[in-house]
Amino acid sequence: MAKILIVDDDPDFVETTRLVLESAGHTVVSAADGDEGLRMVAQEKPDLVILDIIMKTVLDGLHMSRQMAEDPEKRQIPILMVTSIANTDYAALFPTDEYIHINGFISKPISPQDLLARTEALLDRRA
Amino acid sequence: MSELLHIPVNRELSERARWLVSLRWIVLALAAAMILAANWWLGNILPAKALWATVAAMAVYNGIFWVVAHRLIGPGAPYQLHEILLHAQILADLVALTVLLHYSGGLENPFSTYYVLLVAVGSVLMTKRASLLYAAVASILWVGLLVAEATGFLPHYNLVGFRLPMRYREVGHILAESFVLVTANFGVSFLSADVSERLREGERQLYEANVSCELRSEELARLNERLRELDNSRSDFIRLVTHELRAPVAAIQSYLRLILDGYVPPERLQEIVSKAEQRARDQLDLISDLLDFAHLQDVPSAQAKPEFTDAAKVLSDVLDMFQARIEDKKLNVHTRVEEGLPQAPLSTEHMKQIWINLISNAIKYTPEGGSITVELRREGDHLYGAVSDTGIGIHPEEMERIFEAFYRTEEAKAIARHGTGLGLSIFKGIVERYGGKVGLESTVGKGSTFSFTLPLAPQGVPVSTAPGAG
Repeated sequence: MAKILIVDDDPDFVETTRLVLESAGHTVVSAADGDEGLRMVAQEKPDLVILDIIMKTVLDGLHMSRQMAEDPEKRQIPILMVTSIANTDYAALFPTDEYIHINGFISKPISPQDLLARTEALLDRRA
Repeated sequence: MSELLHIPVNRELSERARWLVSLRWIVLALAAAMILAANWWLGNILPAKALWATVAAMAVYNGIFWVVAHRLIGPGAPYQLHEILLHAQILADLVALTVLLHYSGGLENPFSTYYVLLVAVGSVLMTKRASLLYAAVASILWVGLLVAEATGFLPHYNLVGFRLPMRYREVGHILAESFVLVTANFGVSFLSADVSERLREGERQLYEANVSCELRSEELARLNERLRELDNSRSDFIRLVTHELRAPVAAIQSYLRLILDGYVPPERLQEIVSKAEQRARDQLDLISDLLDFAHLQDVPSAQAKPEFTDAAKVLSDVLDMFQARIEDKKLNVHTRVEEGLPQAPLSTEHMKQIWINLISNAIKYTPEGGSITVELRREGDHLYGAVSDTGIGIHPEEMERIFEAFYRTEEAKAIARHGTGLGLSIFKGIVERYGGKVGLESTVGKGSTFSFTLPLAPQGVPVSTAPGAG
């Protein structure tokens, strides 16, 4: 199966996501912030990155996705962006007129079925 | 305000001084023409040498005034210098006119009315007091000349063929001439000074109104900027609260969902449920901290009675509360509390929150076997309290941010995962609410000292700080 990197500073989110993904037979690695996430991408070469937007700094996740987009090798890895911000009031926070290098967007809390469906879809597309 | 006002007033005085100098060149040309015309018409009866010498002297002093007005006293010079320059010009002109009149017939010369002209010019340019001075000087010079010539103290030059000789000695004529010129001088000085003073007052008010408008618009721009900052920090705060409030509930919900959907193997069930329970406890802590924090934002009512508490007693209660944790970590706690301290000017509840926040942090971030020192003493008219630890310390660049709501250093997160990041902002909020100041000294790896000073005399309770800024 696939190797998936979870980047989130909330260990409980990492834990729950890990349980679901491992139940489907995937290997899971994790990082707590954008910098560590970039190192893990280089080191572990995951097939998919699940990335939280808000970590150490607001929009840390967006920053990491941009960094990945600038690297010819890393940009091949699909990104599923996760956030607990689901309110349209905050839509204005996010850059709208520039390209965000992500392949999907999902909001917390995530139902296990939904998470598996989304990750499978992204992994299939890559394959 | 008066500093600002002087600048345009000085500029105007300096322009007036230059204008008088320019005008005088024209007057000198006219005077020369008059001397030539009079001598031609009356047949060289006047002392031409003396008259030309006077005109030349005037040209010389006008040249000096020109240099002074254009080169030495610029618009930026002090107000008094401008005034002196104008006084000097008018007074020199009054004297020069008297000399010219003396050599050209004295009382017989109709140009004596030019005194009135000079007084009028001086009165328009200068203050009321100065204009009365000009009127007095003009009158004294004129009457003095008439008397000096009539009594033979000065020679009299008769305008032969223009006026009857001997008239300059007729008392009635001298009195009439004196009376007309003196009253004309004072009348003109009073009227023109009064009118121009009113005009100047109007101008001054207009200028002041302008200046205060400018000041007000600057003030408005500053306030606007401040409001924008407040608005930004408020939306940052809302964004963080939304994130912080949702995250634990989302985590608990995810754990429960996994259990319900059978993703959790039976042997891990206990572990997963206790993780969810821990998260629920965190959420409760966060909510109670947020309520404290929100309560600090309330503007205290003006009628609220000042409250007092015994800071030392509250401290010993709080230390008792933490006794078990202190023993668990084998920490040495030293207290240095001054005897007989006056009552601290804040509510018992707030004093308790201050001690709890500082001491629980010290316990949390100090390794086993470390020590904590609590100090409480009077410093002048302030109460000084401090909690020092031998803990992890704080990087200098993080010292400012440490008091921000939700801010936790990476080292703090590594040591204690659970923490709301609100404790220090609550501490700062309380201290500032009572007009006090917080302090922080820290060395990474050595420890930190958080301190506060509270004014002992109760004073106006300021509006609390903005969210996020605290």
